[in-house]
Amino acid sequence: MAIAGTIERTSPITLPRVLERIFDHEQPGLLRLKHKESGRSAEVKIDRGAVQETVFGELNGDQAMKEISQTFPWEYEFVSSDTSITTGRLPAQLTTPSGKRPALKLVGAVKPMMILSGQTGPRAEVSPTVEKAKTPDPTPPEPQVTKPAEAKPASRLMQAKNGPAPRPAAAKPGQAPAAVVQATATPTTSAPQSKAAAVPAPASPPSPLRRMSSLPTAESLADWVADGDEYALRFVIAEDRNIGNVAESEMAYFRADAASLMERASLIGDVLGFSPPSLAALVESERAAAYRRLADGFAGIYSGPGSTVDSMLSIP
Amino acid sequence: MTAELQAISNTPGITGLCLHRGAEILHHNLPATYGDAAATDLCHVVSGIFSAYANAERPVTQGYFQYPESGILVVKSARGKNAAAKECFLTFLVSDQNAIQTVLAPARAFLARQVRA
Repeated sequence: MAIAGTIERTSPITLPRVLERIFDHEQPGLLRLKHKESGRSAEVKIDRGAVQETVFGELNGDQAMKEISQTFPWEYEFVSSDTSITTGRLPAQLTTPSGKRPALKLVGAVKPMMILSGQTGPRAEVSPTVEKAKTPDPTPPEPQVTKPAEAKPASRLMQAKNGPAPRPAAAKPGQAPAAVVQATATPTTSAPQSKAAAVPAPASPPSPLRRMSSLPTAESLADWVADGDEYALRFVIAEDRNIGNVAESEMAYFRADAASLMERASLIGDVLGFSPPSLAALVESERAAAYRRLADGFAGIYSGPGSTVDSMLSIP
Repeated sequence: MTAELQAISNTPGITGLCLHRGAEILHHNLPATYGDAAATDLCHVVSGIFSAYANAERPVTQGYFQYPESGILVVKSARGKNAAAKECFLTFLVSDQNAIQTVLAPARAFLARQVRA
């Protein structure tokens, strides 16, 4: 996938925002802009997190940038010149240091879900799916092992191209779950302008979240981690310390999964002109995960079957 | 359909919603400040992301993304008998997380009916 979309006069996506997003990747490349009505095009060469060259018709430099900024609408696409993005290479974080499969004990626990702290209602019980656990594991072969020290952080572009980080596969009785590395989908931000059956919208703008807070630190979440149970694993992975009953290899998985999910959450937020996400949660039929950004890392919950998204938002 | 969606959308803490089948937007009542183009883009990105997870053998059914400005809740329909049919999504703009628990059940019920229809 490339960074692509449309810049319109009334759109929250502006040229500076597009450039910021590209700068975040620290990938060299070319931002191509096309003015569909007139057929004119412009190019912005980007390297080392900065604009190196701008060309718009006969204009260049600041003059070209100024003219581009005052022209609407643009269709844009960023094409990276970093070959690692286009080769489909998976981020190295998806492998484990030891080459062993992440032993996420929680996945094997098929007991009914317990109530997480902060929940007010009882959770529906989910019966253990024994038959399902006996079915053949569709997990592809284990990924090639790469040492984390050699790992290059997965850029948003690469992750979007390769698909999300793999999940730990559902565990079979007596067997540790496996990491699935199968990522081929290509989500895209370029949207066709389909017909929207709009209804009159409320006049008032969205109000800010009531439960917003500044980013907590790993230290402040130690008690919250300790309150976790075997059905909802809680952990903190920070720069200088990790908290929670999570093995190093499992942390590599959670790091990759959290980074992948946060990148995708950023894509959603970009559409509406939002700031970077502070929390992201996904629920699947067999598991659920939520990650929250901390000042020095991230906190997470990894839960089993029967979870709903609201139950995953208890991270302080 | 519109009346039912409006009722769901009127839940305190919900600022607006989009109903979309895959990336195709069927209905939205996001605040006017965002506009139709943003709603279309939102549906496109959301369905693309869920599709990416599904292709990685991670069939995501719900998602929540919190930003300083607002939250985005996504509820996806369960796959119906017609596996080739694109799945329906309800994507909510959330101003209060307490609303999530309230809208989950009606959202899933609404989507289930869409799949059967």
